[in-house]
Amino acid sequence: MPKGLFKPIGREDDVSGWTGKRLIVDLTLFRAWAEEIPDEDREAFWGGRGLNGRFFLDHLGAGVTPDSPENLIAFAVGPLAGTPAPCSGWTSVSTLSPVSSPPLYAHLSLPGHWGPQLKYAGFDQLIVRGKAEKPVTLLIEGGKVSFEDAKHLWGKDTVETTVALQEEKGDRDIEVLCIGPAGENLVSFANVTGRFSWTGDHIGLGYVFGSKNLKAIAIHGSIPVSLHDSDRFLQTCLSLVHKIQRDLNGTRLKDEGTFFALRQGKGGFGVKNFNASSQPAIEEKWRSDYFTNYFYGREGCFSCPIHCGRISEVNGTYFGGVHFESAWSLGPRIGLENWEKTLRLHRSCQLQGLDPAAVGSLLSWIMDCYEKGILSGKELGSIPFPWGEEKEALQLIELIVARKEAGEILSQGGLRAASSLGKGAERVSHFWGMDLPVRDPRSSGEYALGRALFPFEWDYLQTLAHFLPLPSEETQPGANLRRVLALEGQKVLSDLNSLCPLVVARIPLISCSEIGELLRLATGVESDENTLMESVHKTLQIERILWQRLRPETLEWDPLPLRFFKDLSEKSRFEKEIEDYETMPFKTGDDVHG
Amino acid sequence: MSAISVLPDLCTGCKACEMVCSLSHESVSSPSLSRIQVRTWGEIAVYMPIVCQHCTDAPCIRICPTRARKRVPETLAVITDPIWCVGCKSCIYACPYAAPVIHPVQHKTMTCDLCGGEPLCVKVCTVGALSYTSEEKTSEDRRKLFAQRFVQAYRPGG
Repeated sequence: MPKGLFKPIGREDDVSGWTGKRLIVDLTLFRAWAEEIPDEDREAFWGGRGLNGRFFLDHLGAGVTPDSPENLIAFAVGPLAGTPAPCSGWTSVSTLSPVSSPPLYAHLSLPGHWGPQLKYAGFDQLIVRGKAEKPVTLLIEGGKVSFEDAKHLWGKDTVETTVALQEEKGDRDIEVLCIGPAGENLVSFANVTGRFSWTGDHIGLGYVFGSKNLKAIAIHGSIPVSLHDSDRFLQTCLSLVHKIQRDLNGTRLKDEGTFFALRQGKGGFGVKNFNASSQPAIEEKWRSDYFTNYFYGREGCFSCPIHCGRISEVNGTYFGGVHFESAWSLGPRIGLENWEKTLRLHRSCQLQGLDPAAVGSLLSWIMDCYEKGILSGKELGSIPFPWGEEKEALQLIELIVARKEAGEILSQGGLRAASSLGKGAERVSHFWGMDLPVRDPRSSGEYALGRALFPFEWDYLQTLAHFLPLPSEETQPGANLRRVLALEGQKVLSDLNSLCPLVVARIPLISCSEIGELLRLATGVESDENTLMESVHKTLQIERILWQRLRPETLEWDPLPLRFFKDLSEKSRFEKEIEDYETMPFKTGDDVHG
Repeated sequence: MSAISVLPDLCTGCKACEMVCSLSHESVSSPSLSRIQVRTWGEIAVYMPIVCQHCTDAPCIRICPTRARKRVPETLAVITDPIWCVGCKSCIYACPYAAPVIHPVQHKTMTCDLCGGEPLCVKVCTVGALSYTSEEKTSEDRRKLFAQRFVQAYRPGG
C-alpha cells in the first residue's frame, strides 16, 4: 500500500504492473476508444511483441498491403515499462513492412522514452488503423486523445517537428514519435524518430505513417504505474543496477557504446557492399578516430544504467543517435573513411526521417554497380557514383526524399529498384528484401541463418550476439538452428517485457530468472523460466503463422543472394535449414490457432 | 552540510533518478511524483536535473506562511511538512531553482528529503551526474571540471 501522501489515481481494479487497457485509434473515422485487454492474453504473452502478434492474428484481414488503410500499426509495452527496472524503456512495434519482399508482418524494437509515456497515459497497447484525409498529429495527453491538424508540420524535418510540437504545447516532456519528409513522400525505407534521435526502425514504419497521413504521435501521461510489491521491486532494481555496473561487459558497453562490437577483434564487417571484409586494425583506426575527434557525450534510454547512445559533435552541431551499425553503413560500407562526412550523411538521414542503415546499403549497391558498369550515369540522373563520395550521396538523398528523377525509382529500396531497372539485382545485399546489417553473413553460418529466419531483427548489437560464446559449442546437425532459436528466444523475452535486447539477449546482463522475479514483484503473477519461455514460443509461433499467411504460395525462394555462398550446394543446405524451421513444432503447451 | 550535487554535462536524461524517487516515496512509479525533476532540451542534447539544494539560508523557510518548510536536524534537509502545507506555492516562487514539486493529488509541495542520508537517486545515477557530497567537495569537483575543460581548450588533446 502507498506509504506517502499519495493514493493511486484512476485504478479501481487490482491490476499491477499492467494498465490492462488498449487504445484503438481509427484515423478514417477520427475516433478513439479504450478496451480491456483480456487477462488470459496478458498472462500468456506478458506484453510487447506477444500482445501485438496476438492482435494481428485476430484482426489482420486478407489482401492487406503496407499502404492500405486496413494495415495496422501496433505499439505495446510490458509490465516493466515505466518502472525503475533497468533498461525498461523499449517499445514493441508491429506492422506490415513495405521494405521486405514480399511485404511481411514485421516487428521492431523501439528504444528511448516513448513507451513509458504510453504506459503513463494509461495504456499497455496502442493500435492505429485507417487513413486520415489530411495530415494529422495524434495527441494523447491528460486522459484525452485528440486529432490535430498537421498541415503546418508537413514538410518539416524530424527535429523541427518535435520542437514545434513541444513548444506549441508548452511541454518539453511530451514524447514525440514523428516522421520527416521521407515518410510523407512514401519512401519505402523512411523511419520514425522519437525524441530527436531514437529509432530502431529498419522496417519502413515511416512509410506506413506517411501512408496514413500521420505526421506524429505525441504523448504525455501522468498516471502512475502501481506495483504488486513496490518495496521489494525497488530493492531488486537497485541490486540489478549494481550488478550491471560491476559487470565487465556492461562497463565496456557503457564506455564504448555499440562500437563495443568492434572490440571483439574478429573483423568480418562488410566493406564496399561486401566486396571485402574489414580487418581488426582498420576497425580500430576507424573507432578511435570517432572517439578522439567526434564523440561528445552519452545519452540513455528510459531508466538505463548503461547509456550506450553517443552524442556526436561535428562543426558545432551536437546530435545523438549515432550507433555502430548506422555509422558503419554510411562509412566503410560505402568506402568512406572520413568521419566528418559520415556524420554529415547520418545527420541528413536523421533529419529527413530516413533509415541511415538502409541508405548506406542502397548507396553501397549503387556505387558497386557503378564501379562494375552495371549502372551508368543514365539511370542515376547523370550523377557519377565512385566509392565514398559524400557530395553525390547527399545530392541523391535529396532526390530520394523528394522522389524526383533517379530518386523516384531508388525510393523503393535496392531490391525493388533493381527489379524496376532490370539490372543489378545480384549485387543487392539483402535477406527477403531487408537490407543486410553490416556483419558479413559469410563470417558465420549461424549468423546467416539467424538473419534469414528473423530478418527484421536489427537492434544495435544483433551482430554481436553471434560472436559471444554460447554455453555449448554444438557441432551436431541442426546445431545452428538450435543456437539461433536460443538467441532469438532471449530477444523475444526482452521484447515481451519492454527490456533492452542488448542486456537481455546480446550481452546477457539480466537473466531469465531475474526477469521472472521482477515480473512477479511487479504484477503478482507467478512466473518462472518455463512459463516465460512458453510465452516466447507462443509469440514465435504466431509470427510464423502470420508470415506464412502473408507469403504467396508461389513465391520463389531467395533468402540470400548466391554471391554470399561458395556454391549452389552450400546455398541449398542453407535453404534446407530454413525449411526445417518452417515445419518445426513449438513447445507452447497449447496450440495457437490462426 | 551535504546536498545532492548535479553535473548536468554528465546527465543523459534517462530519468532513473525520478523513478526511484517516486517509487521509494510514493510506492508507485511516475515522473510527476518525483522530488527530482530532469528538464530536457533534446535537440541540443542538454539534460538538467533540478533538485533542492537545502540552502544554508533557505528562502523557502523564510517565506513559508504556515512554517511548513523546515529543516530536519539529522540530515539538515529542508522539507515540507504536509500537515501544515496549504499549497500556496510561495516556496516555489522563492526558490532560485523552483525545486519544490506540486503533488498532483494533494496539491501540496514536496522536495528532496535526502532519503534519510542515503539518496537513492545518487545510487542509480551510473554516469555520475548526481553525487551526495559536502559543500567543499561540490565546489572542488566543479573547479576540477572547469580546469579540465580549460586545459583541453587551451592545449588540444591535453
